[in-house]
Amino acid sequence: MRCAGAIPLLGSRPGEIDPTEEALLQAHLATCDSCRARLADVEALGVIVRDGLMVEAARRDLAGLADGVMARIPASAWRGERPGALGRARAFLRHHRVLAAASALAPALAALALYLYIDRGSGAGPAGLSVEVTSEDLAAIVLDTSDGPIILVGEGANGT
Amino acid sequence: MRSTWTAAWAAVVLLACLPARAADAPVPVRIRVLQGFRQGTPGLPPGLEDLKAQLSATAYVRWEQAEEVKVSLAPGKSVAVSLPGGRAVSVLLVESKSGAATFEVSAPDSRTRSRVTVPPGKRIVQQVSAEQGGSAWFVTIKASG
Repeated sequence: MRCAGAIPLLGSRPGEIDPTEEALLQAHLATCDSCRARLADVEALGVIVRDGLMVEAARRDLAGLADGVMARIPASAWRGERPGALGRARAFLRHHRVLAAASALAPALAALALYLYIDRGSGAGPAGLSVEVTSEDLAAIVLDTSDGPIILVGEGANGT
Repeated sequence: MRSTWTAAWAAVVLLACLPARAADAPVPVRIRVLQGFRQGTPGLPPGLEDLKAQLSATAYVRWEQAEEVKVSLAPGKSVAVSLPGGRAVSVLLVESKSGAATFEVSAPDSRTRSRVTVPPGKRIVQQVSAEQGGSAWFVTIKASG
């Protein structure tokens, strides 16, 4: 193995490269001062980064993290229970807010459409006319004219 | 999220109330009392020309207007219209939706009751008395709202 093939493998973690490559790398490091120096630098950098991350993590206050996570998990979940239908519906709505809002508006839009449909359907025209006549002892007939209905009563009514 | 639900339900309530508000509004109603005769010179007196299409469909050829009432009726309210001889006809506005009005007319003299829904601009002509001596009484009802 030459330096060009060895450099990318420097700093690899155990198991990241196959045993054959590992053996070739170790053989190369045994004979190459330059690559050993690079490996030392990589390992030193890893230590610096790790220590830096630990310092940064220590500065963060994670005291309430566990409680916060547990609070967001439904009690039924950490007791090992499956949520009920209502719980699943709430979880679904919580994660699909736009769909939930649209679902809530659907009845309103349906009511509006129905209102507009009825509003237009009851306009002028034969469909809007409705006549019921009851007479105790006289006959009644209804004539439909262009201006409206005529209700006549009598023995045989009086239409022409 | 809560505000979205609140807005949605507010829209539902508002839409549910819209037809109710329109249905409760008072409606101007014009009622005329007419007497029709089988005999006489055919024709309509001044002021009754607008009734020609309907009145000419009956067997009565001469017409006279006895009374005219203009009233604003709210749904569920009625007005009594007098006929000669101390008789009266009751006109009840049952409901009004988008200009189409439903009236219930009770005529004790002919023991007749009608319930009629007319589209906007249409008029009801109803005979409210049995024919006597070749004449009979009528009422015309038109909602102008």
